[in-house]
Amino acid sequence: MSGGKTGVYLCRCGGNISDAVDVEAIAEKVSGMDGVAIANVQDYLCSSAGQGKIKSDIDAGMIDRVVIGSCSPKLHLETFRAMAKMAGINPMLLEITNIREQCSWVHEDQQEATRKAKGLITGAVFRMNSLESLEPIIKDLEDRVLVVGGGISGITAALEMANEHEVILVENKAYIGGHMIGLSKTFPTFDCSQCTLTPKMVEVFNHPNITLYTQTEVASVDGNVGDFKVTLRRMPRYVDVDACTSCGRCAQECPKDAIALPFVQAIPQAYIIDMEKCVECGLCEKMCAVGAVKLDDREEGIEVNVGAITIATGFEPIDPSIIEEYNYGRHLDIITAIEFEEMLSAMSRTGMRLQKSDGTMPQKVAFVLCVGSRDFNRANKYCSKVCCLYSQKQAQLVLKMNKDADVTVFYIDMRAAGRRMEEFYHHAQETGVNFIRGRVAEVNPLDSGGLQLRYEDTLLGEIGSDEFDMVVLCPSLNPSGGTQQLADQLGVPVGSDGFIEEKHVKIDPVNTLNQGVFAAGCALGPKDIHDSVTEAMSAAHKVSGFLGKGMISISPEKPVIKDACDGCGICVEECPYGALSMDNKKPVLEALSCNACGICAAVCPQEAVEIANYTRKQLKAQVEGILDAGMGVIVYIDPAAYAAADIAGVNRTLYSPLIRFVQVPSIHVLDADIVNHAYEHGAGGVMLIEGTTDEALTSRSKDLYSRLKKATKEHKKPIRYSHIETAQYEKLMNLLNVFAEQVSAKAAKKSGKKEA
Amino acid sequence: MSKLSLFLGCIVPNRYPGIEKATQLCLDKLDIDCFDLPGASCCPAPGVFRSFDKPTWLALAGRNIVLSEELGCDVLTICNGCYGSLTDANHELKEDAALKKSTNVHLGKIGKKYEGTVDVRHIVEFLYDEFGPEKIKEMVVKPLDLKVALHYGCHLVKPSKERQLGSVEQPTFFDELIEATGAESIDYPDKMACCGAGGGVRSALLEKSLEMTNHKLSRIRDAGADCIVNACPFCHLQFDSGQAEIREKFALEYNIPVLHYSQLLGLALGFPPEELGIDLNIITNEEFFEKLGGRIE
Repeated sequence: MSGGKTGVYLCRCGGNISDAVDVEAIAEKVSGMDGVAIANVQDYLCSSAGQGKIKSDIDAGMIDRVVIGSCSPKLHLETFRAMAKMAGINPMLLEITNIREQCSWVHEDQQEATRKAKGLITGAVFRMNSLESLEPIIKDLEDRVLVVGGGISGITAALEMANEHEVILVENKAYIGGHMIGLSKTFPTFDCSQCTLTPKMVEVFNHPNITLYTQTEVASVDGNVGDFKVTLRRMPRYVDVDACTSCGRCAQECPKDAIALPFVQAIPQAYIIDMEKCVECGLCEKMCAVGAVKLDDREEGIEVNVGAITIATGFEPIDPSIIEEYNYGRHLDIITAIEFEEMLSAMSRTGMRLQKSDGTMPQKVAFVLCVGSRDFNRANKYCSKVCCLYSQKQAQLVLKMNKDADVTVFYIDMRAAGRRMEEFYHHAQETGVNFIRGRVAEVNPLDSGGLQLRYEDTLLGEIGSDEFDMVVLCPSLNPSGGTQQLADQLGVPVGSDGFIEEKHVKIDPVNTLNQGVFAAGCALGPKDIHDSVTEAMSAAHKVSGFLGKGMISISPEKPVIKDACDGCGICVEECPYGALSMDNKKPVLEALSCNACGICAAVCPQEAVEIANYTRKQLKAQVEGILDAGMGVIVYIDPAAYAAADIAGVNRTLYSPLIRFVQVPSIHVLDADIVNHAYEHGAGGVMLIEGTTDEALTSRSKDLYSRLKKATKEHKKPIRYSHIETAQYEKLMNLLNVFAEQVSAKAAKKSGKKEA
Repeated sequence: MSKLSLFLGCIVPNRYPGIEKATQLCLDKLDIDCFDLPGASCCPAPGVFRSFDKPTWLALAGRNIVLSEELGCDVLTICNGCYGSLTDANHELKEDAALKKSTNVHLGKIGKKYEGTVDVRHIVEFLYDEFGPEKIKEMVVKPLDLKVALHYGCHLVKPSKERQLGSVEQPTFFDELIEATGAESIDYPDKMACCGAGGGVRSALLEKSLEMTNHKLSRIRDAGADCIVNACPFCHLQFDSGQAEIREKFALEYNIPVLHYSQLLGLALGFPPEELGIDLNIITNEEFFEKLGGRIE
């Protein structure tokens, strides 16, 4: 044993636990165990009296390790650990065993619930006897954040963070504002896009804490969370952004129209030379009174050091030519909704007039929705969310500019979700916009110059054919090229649809799976301005919280390389996160990249790698203790699935009391040795429940399961693997119940045979 | 070029033997080593069999492919329908191990086994791929001064993911083969629309199918075509016999000659129209024949 003095404290939880579980009996049993100095029962351990008792026992030198039997560690573990730290013991030497959400609340049979709790506490004591004091790994954070993307999301995030942190904002175009600066009025209020955005753009440009780089993208990212070393690549503008006063004399002189403002309201308000047109006559340079023209400007590499990164790289519209039958590119009046909107925006080249290619006002306009969206055959499966609403808006704009126009929106479903949107749709219908439910089959340019649309009007059940003079295609929103590029550079997972994967779809939506990297806006999926701004503000808050501490502490439960290591390098190869590398024939751990999944420990042929505080010995000891109370089903469960078990508890969903959870950092730390040991000590069955959505791990689970199944065959007892989402607690409970029944049936059969 | 087995299908031997003759002559002239696939049955007709019973379709198609596999040759088809049926079946059996296994259970009963070792070709994509329009042009003896309304048909280019023959809405490879003969491939509205015959439509809803054919014929006539060229005997039948049926049912007269590509190519390679069976069509157009320098018996 440890020679240590463990204090075991059980909470009645005001009856929540003690009504079902006989905590007194457990305390009695445990007090006689090796290494246990005190076994104590309290009404409310989390109360100041409860915590006070533990603290005073520590202060008196009676105990130096603590096992608590109470509600889920998710609630109070940090609180108790902070108390322990204050009392002078290493916080890793305090653990909580869940005997409420995962025991008293979910089992009817009190005897069985008590037997289970007894086993769990015994297991916790055995485990505690061999735990190590570990110190968390501390790293200083660089108090600077890089925001990639200068659209509304990037601008909002930058401004939210700039009062507290240094911000570097990078945009690959010559101007900021993204797609929003190319909009005219926004739904549902018809607010002017430029009026909303321009003040923010100016604020960004003038903010003392924001360094803005336009014409710039990320070339490479090195280093790690808290200390990213990013190399930026700035493409030449040939005009000094800070010196240029946008007086325009250079443009007046230029014989080739090569120097211009990107558009009148562009921020930065600086000219730029289009080298394709420029003949390098030098007139602009001569004319510039402030010497802002720099014809010798070249591509530049810029190195920056940041503690956190925010991905705000937005979307790009799909090329509608992919839908050949719409003949985009074969007629000048078949345009995309983006091109339509630009005509009426700050970026307009038609003097903010809506016009056809011949300069006249369109009389009959068709809007075609879902071009490349909701398309399982050729393009994107998802819905791009904003098109139903913006097409209603654009249709109304046409009528505003030409009250006699005939405007029709062709749709599959009209989606107007959320506040003020259905009212907006209703209003669009009232102003006289026609809506036809039916996917457009073809847009045919006619010899006469018009555009023939063939469609099925599904509400009338008729095939329709109609001629328009302008057709606006609403293109699907793809993740921008910059999104994929940046994701690759950062090693941030993207979904199969190409958008950045959130840490958790529901409860951690602006965090990525990489620590220190956050995301906001359309890089995470199509959305409108309101939602982009909301996400940007959330991401800014998360970044601030992250950087605000000035340092990050990494859990010390990481792989440790033992002397038995022979330098074979298998762990380095197998690590899905590249956290191990060979140095002088020994593996070296980059703790910040490590996810503590345990794969390195499981694959080591010498058993020379162990996860600190989840060592082979500790895992086995815990199971021995649990099964000391008699037969049970050992369920190895990862943190994400553990959360599901807790939700089941909160919902008082009943399940078999044979189930005993053993939390592991991931199920991949398990190997045949550990699982066989469980069977040898009386497990009636073993389950592996995985809740993580990290594909780097789940892609290995099928193999892991088949290997374990094979390796434990001799015991002839059931083994099962399942993957569940954290929300699927009912599915989890069903799985557990079915499995527990199988185990009971098998055990009964065996004992029946034995008797016979 | 390795040997190919020639899969004639049903319509050509039974209704339009001229196409068979024309095909043979062209293959000879182009020095393509080809022999009639012995024992070949109906492909089976994709629209009907595949809709009713997939295992039956796969077994019958599989058997046809196996006959060629046993002789170590790729299959050459001259019909969109046969091409569609055999290629799609070949693809499914190659990709899906379970289907291959279950189909081989049926084939096993007649002592056959599908391995998936050969490909299925269509004469149009085969000529484009293996020869190319330039080479064809070199072999042309009599450049044709004709305005051709080209009809690709459906199964030649679709399903697009499997065919990999490029654009489905605006393909050009067949047009290039037409132009190689000297003829002009004219554009006309709804060029890529279906003739109306396939998918069981001609059998079950004859008038409906004729409405579709009529639509195409009127566009083709308005565009001023001298003739229609197709790659599929079923389209050929629909356009040819279809005109007679349209005359009877709708009282509309078109008189547009219909040629299979092998017949058009045959003309360009110097064979007279009678040898290519063009006179065996239901629609015979004297003007057209005179243009070609032939006679109607």
